This record gives sequence, C-alpha cells and structure tokens, in this order.
Amino acid sequence: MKLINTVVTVVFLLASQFAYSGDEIDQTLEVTATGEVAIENLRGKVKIVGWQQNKVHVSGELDDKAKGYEFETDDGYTIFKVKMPRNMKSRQFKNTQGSDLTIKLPVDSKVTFESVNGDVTVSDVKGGAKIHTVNGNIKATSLNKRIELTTVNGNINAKKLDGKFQLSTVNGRVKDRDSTGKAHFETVNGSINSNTQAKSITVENVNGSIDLDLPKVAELEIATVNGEVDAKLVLLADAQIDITSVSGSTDLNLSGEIGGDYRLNSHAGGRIRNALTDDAVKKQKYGPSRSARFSIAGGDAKVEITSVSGDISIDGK
Amino acid sequence: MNDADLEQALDQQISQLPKAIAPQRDLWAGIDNAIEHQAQQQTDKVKPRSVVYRLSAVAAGIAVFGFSAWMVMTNNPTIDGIDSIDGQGVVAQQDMANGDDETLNYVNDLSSLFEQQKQALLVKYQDTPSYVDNWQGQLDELDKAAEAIKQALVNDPTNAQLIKMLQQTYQQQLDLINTVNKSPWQTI
Repeated sequence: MKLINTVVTVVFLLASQFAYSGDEIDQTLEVTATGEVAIENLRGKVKIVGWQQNKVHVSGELDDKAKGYEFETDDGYTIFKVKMPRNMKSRQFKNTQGSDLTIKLPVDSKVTFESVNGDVTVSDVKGGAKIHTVNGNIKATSLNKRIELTTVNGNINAKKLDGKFQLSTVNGRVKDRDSTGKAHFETVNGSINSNTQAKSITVENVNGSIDLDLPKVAELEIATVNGEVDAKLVLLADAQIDITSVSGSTDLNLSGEIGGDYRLNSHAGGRIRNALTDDAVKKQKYGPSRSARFSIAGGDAKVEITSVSGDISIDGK
Repeated sequence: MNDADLEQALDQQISQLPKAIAPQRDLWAGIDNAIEHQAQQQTDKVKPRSVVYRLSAVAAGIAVFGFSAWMVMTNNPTIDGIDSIDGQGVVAQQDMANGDDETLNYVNDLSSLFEQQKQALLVKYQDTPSYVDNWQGQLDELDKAAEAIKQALVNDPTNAQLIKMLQQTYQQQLDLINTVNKSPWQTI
C-alpha cells in the first residue's frame, strides 16, 4: 500500500510540473485518517471540507499566474501548494484571476491554511484547524479541537466551533454562533458578537462594539479601548468577571449565580449605575473617580469592572 | 484715667522690666538630650522605608534591564503582566501600597521601555509595505488610551488594574505593528 502511494505521489509530482496556470485540477491522494493537511494558496477562493474518506481530493481551477502545484503525502503529512513565480509585482496580477479550489480531506484531519488575498470557507474538520489569510473573509463551521482563525482585513464568521479557539482580525467583524469550549476573540477595528456557550472567554478589542449573550460563564475577561460592551451573562457558581475599558461604556445584565463580591471603579469622570443592589456609589473626595463595592449573599463570584472615561451600568434579575 | 493715659503707664512699666529672665537651673543639658532623642526616633522611622525604597529601586533597575535585554532578543516582544513582575520582586503589591512614588517611577520606566521597543519595531518595518491602510490611526487610538490610563494613575497610583490596563495597551500596540507589517510569506 505504501509502495502504491509512493508511485502515485511521484506520478502526481511529475504531472504537476506540466500543469498550466488557470488550468483545471482534479487530483486525489490516499492519506491517513488522522494526519495533517497543509494548504498554501497565494490568492483566490478556497473551500475546505471534511469528508468520511481517507483521501485528499483537490478540484477546481489554479491561479492564472500559477507555475504548477505541489501535492504530496508522506507519513501522515500531506501538502497542497499552488506554486507562484517569485518576486512578482502587483501590476503583474492585474486582469488575472486567483485560484478557485475545493479541497476535501478526512474529517479527523488537522488542517493548516495560508493565503494572502482571498476568502476561505472551512467546515467539518475535527482534528484542529489553523486558518490564516491577510486580505479575505473566513467562514468556519463545525470545527473541533484547537482552532485558530486569523485575518488582517476581513470578517470572521464562525458557527458550531467546539474546542479551544481563537478568532482574530484587525479590520473586520467577528461573529460567533453556538460555539463551546474555550474562546478568545480579538479585533482592532471591528465589532465582536457572540453567544458562545464556552465557559471561559477572553475578549480584546479596540474601536468596536462588543455584544455578548453568554449562557454559561465561569470566566470572562474583557479589555477594550473605545469600545462599548453590552453583555448579558448567566453566571455559573464562583464566576470570575474582569472587565477593563478605556473610553467606552460597559453595560452588564447578570443572572444565574450572582452571589459574590463586586468592585466597580471608574476614573476620569465615568459614571456608575448599580441597579443590582441598593449600595451607593461613592465619589472620591478629591478627584473625578467613583467606586461601588458591595457583596451579594449566597455565592463566591468575583466581578471587577475598571473604566477610564467610560460609564458602568450593572443590573440583573 | 483715660485709655491713652493707661496705655502710656503700661508702656512705662514694661520698659522698666529686666531684659532677661534667668532660669532657676541650667536648661541646655535637657535641650541637648531632647534633640538627640528626637533625631534617633526619626532615624528609626526612615531606616525601614529607605531599605524598601533601595531594594525596590535596585529590583526595578534589574527588571528594566531584563525587559530591555529580553525584548532585544525576541522578534515578538511581550510585556509581562503585573503578576510576573511581582514574581521578580520589582514592585509587589505591598511595596505599591507603601510607595506611590515608586509606582509612578515604575510606570515611567515601563513607558520608556515600551517607547524604545515601539520605535525599534517601526524602524524595522519602515520599508515593508503594510497590508492595512489605517493601522497608524489605530496605533494613535491606543496611544491616547495609554495616556488616559497614565493620567488616571496619577490620581490612583497603586491601582493594579490600571497598571495592567496600561501594559495591555502597550502590548496591543506592539502586536498591531507586528501583525500588519509581517509578511505572510515568511510563514509559507
């Protein structure tokens, strides 16, 4: 079996040297069920789908400027790479098209994907996924284990992720639905919207709103600059909530195991509205700071919110 | 006798009083003893604080040097969180509670260190085309946030949360510069 795979690999390698750019591709390799598949494509659309066969199948059209491709597998590691000329200037890409590919791989594979210009869709991959692009959107559905979705200029749309996942963009929105596990969301210039069931969540954001509807929070950490936080949280027992904000308002609605200690601190003029208890907000005698510290019986939650130049509002049932 | 006459009479009697009133015993020995005792008390109060200050200053210097050396050796610098800094004994919670000046000095050192690292990164990438058009604007927003936090620290210098926020905004700036300027083909 190994000999057949080696022969097939050699044949495909030879064939790939003679593939013309813009040409169609329809190739398959036998691979291991739980191996790693690495995909590299400079520009164009790529769709990655997990399937039940122990094969990697690549179909579609190569980049108009491609000089062939590399497609080989060895000892559980499979690579598909669209080869491009070196040192190309941007004007040389004008009026040409990038790749348009569909890549199917075993559902229990781990997949890594690198691109510069182009959107990528990835679904039903259970062994882990590391998806990086620079200018392009990422759409991900039903991924498991360690998941990293990163783009620079583009949106991230994720659904049903299950594992330890990180969604990160510079200019773009992050939208996450129905995920579980451990979540990290990060944007520089864009909003974050999630209803994750992950129990541990971290959020970092500059210039964008943060909208969270979290039904099972054990740990939540938010750091935002110029962003409005609007969060509806159902706390688990002993929940730890830590929110820091500069120049943005924080609006929390809490339910669940809300018993515990609360520390709300605002600096440089931010107001505090505490609708959770009757405890008063104290104003610093000399200076613009305000604080509210109180406890609610029946729990060990710790909620700390620190704001510089931003209002804090907290209520709940 | 009217008021003017009374005042004149009083002035006359005052002028006739002896110029110096000699004490019944020598008071200088007691004064000497009192001065010496007060000086000893002040020395005892200053000693613990100055030891703490000296140790904090030395540890801060080591930490600043350590940060500089570590950042120079790595391409992706990170600024350790306050917990790890506490672990190095630079400005632990107890020391912060005892010394506002030490905390503000630490913040200034942190800011200087960050600025050096930021400038080094900007020089490193100055000829590299960026994939993001507006990243300098985002950097400015983070810079303004850092200044707002530092201003808040002036009023509340021992606030560990504010220091953590300052470190986060510095780290976000360094991460942003690296993210938007690093060529993706270095990893392909």
